[in-house]
Amino acid sequence: MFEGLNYFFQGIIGFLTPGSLFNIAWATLLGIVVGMLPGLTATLGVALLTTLTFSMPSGEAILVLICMYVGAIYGGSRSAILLNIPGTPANAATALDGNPLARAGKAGKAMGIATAGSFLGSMIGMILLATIAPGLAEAALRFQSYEFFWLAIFGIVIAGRLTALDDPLKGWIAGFIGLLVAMVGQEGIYAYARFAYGNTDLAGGFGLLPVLVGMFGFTEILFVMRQPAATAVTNAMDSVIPKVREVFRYWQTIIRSGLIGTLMGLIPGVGEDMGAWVSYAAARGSSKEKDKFGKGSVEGLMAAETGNNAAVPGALIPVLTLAVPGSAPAAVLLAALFIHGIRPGPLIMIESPAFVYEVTAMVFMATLAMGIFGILLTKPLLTVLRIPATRLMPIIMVLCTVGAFAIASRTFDIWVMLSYGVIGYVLRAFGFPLAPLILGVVLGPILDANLRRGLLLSGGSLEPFLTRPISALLWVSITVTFLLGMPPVQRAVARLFRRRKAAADDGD
Amino acid sequence: MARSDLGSSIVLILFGAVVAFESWRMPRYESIGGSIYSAPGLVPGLLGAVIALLGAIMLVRYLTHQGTPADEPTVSEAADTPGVADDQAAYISAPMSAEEDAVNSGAVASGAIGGEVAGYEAPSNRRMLVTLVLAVVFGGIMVGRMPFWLAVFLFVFVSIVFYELAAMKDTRSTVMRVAIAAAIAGATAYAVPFVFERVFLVNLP
Repeated sequence: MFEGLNYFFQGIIGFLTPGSLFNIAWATLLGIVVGMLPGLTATLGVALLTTLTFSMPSGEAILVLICMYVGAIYGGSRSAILLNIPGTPANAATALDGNPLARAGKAGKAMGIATAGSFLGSMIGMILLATIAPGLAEAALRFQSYEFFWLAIFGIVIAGRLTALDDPLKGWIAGFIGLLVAMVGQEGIYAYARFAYGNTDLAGGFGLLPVLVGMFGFTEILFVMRQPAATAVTNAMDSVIPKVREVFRYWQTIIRSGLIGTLMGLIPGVGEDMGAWVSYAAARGSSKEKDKFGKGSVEGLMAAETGNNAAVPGALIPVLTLAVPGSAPAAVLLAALFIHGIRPGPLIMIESPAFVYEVTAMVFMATLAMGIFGILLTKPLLTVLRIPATRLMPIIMVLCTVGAFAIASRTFDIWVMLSYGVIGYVLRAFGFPLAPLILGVVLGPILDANLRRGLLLSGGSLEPFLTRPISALLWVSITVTFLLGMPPVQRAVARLFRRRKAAADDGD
Repeated sequence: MARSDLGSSIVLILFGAVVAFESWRMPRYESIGGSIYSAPGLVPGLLGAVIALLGAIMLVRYLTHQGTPADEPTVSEAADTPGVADDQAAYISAPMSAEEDAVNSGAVASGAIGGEVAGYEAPSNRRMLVTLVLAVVFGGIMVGRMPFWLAVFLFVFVSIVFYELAAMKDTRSTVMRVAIAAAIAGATAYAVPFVFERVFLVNLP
């Protein structure tokens, strides 16, 4: 424990050099701007910066990426409040109460609350990251192929369910398509090039980053250009500095949302969006002022912004301990860790025990920078929202092209980016969420290697897949989640509840 | 159920079947003593089958729901079921319907199709298609065949001019907007190679 604190403080002291502070400042600021601009998501921001920080020392590169991630999830609240357009999908819940507050002339107050919520959410998530990650890594040491196989399926099923609440079937289909995308190219045992048909580029497989830049960059550009721009914001505004008394009135909401947000981050592939939504729903459920929700409730705004930022450190927990991403931006971060020669996974606390705490220190520095910029630079930064999409999107497209190309210097990757941009557009237009698909691309190799290895070890017997305790827990959860997503089962459950209630009423 | 689900499900079933068949055709290395459990086609084959199966579930769902006008999201459906206590129903359905509202009004960011809300013009498929064509011409054809900065300049300039064509009503506004487009294109063509190659030492096409 104290060893952990020691590493944490060493990490912070390590970042107090002019070079690191400069990196923290520009990366967080850029993150806030990326988050503010509709069409630019945290995922794309982290992906493009991964390319840019390619030749930096690994510690600094990861620091820059975490600053971008934290800044972007926070920055999205600005456009949600002022334009009623969430800057990143994670801020959709923010718009519900943030925008009515802004329309009532309290835009500054709303942004102050968002700053306080994001700050405290990140901090709660950060504390949980430092406390949960070491234990989880230790538990994960007992994972064998069987458990990793189920973990991959579990990630897809949960992410599919939670990112497509109204139609989980489409979430699952997207996830399995993602797993299949990862199958293209050489496999691990015989180096057989699957689905390559003699093409050497295809034999190398689809890189995560080009696919991701396509689906979160190019797809987004196509959607943005399909819609004409929204109206600009007004500048008249009250103070953006949050009032301490007002913030601490909602301490219960903050702690609850922080815990929920971190948990949503922790679950593979679920992330900030659900962190905000579930926190919002929970706050509404237990609020004394339910009727205010959706009409400018400070509590609702606080819950949403605390929840989504708490999910950021939460999403890093499985990245570090299981090498499984907690969210889409975390998937990029995971790829970046591998690029920089860091091997996350169950062995992390044994191989490099300081790293988890260094990442915690990075989150701390990023959160601090976010809070400072949030208070000092909110008003000047709003000019960013005046840039019309017609002038911004071509530049973003150039960055997407460079981002796809630069990691491997392959022209093929530009085509991959363009193709997946179109595929992403079509899938989204037909109601399939993209987040589980990206998770599938990351989990595909894990699924492939561990299913075959597990079957080889067990001589083809399915028994260890089904009877080992953690395996059993995972497959039972998967089955329950799957069945509860099926309308006939839902109806049956609802009927059961109705009967119970009727019975209870009779008893009264 | 949405009508597009019919098409989606059929495409998915066919796609899954083709993937499973192609996986079946992959070598199994049994001649060199490879176990059937390590066959390269095993996992993609299973994935193809799962996708076809999920597509089939979607098809069945579409066919059984056909004719019922309700296109209820399943979560709200559960909430609407009498028997779930009222406040509980509100708890379940509120974030969802709220999410839909936010997604629709925030159509630009969330990309909901057909999210036409007061204050927004009709979505323009034409502009989306031109964006697609310009991007493919830029990324797929121009990059690598001419100096990178020139490709960037041409792409950004042409894109902005096209997007703002509608706003160019008289000579003065046309000259203004073309000049701004050229300035932005020039700045991008200078800044992108500078930042990537000089500051961050990254290779460009």
